[in-house]
Amino acid sequence: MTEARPDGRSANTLRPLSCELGCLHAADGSALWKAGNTHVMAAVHGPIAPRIATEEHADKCRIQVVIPTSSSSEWEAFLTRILTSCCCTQLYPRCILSITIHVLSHDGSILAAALHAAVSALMDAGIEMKTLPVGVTCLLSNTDILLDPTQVEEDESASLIIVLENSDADQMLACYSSNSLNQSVQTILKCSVVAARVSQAISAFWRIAIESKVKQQCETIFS
Amino acid sequence: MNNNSRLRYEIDSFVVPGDRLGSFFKTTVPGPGTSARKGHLYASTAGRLSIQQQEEQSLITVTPPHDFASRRVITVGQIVLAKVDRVSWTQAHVSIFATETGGTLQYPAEAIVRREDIGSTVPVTHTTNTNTANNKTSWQVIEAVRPGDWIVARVLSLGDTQRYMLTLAEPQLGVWYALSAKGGTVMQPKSWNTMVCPKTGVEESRKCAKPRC
Repeated sequence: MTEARPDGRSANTLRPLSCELGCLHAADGSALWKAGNTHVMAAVHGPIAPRIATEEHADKCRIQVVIPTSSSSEWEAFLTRILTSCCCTQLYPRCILSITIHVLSHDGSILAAALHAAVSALMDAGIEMKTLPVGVTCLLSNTDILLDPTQVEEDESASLIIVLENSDADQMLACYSSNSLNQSVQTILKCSVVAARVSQAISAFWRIAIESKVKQQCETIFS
Repeated sequence: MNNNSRLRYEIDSFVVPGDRLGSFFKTTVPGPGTSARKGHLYASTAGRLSIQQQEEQSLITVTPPHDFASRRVITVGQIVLAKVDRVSWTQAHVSIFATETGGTLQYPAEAIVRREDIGSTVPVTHTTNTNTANNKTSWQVIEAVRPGDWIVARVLSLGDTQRYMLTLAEPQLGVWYALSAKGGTVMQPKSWNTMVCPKTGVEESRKCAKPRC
């Protein structure tokens, strides 16, 4: 029996999720993702023609992730790689897709929340995607693997984010460690097994959030 | 066995990107909003699943709920609305403002219309037995379009990293809005290669777009 965490959750329980689509009218797609007290907003502009000609690719779209906070270039590169592999970039040649991510409230598992906000905003913008990347943050404690840690828990131990496909939970897209410690392959595989079970719950929540947005739009249009 | 039973989701059900819709058969073809990978059909956009029956094939499509920015992308073969910025001997530099399918672009895109892509000065219906090898059969750029004109053109290619390439070499493509040089009023097409100012009666050479009903 695993001991309860500071907020009363068990080891493999996620914090309450919330997703609001289309919250910004100026952007082509936007989303506000909440996981407990971690709130992240993402805005998608595009596909648009780049201001500088050298920024474009002749055969595909270029994805640009911007997180306007200090020391986030590593996160930007990580998210850019994942989103580029998941989006159908060849459908939008010579265009640029700008994704701006704002961290409104930071209480742990920030990179997973940023990924989910960005993907939700991309779906709101109507960008075609091969698959939805689902990020699950795992905390490697002494006795157990804790999912979706808070900031207090992350400060105590090393965390690891596992990114999986929604269509095939066995397919791992990426892995990112919060600190410089190199995790063993056994640890990563152990985390991915736990994350695969939880990723299905996040995918199901995504479906509900998007479907409710679509129904709301249809009611607005046809009422 | 009908195609509907091969799908993993009911028709008109809601799907999200990455959902496996079914197997890829000769009779089942991926349409807009879907993609084929590893012998399976996957949804690539969030929307309602639908099937369009064609002759011997079923086109699986996912219809998104509303018009997206991603529909406003310029693709080869699209008809676009552009404004002529400047003209040289070899080409006309234009700015694309809207596409036929996607509507207004967020930012104007630069494009060029080369002299050889404007089309022939001999109309399509004109047939003659005389040798036209010595006759001038290609437009001078300045006679076809002038700065300030609004043109309807087709995207010929995505061009280089600088600009798109357009063509006017079809009857329905060409100038559809132009102001006269002297009067400054909107000119009306008199024939396929002439526009006339209703105020002054002055004729100007243009490659006019055939009116589309």
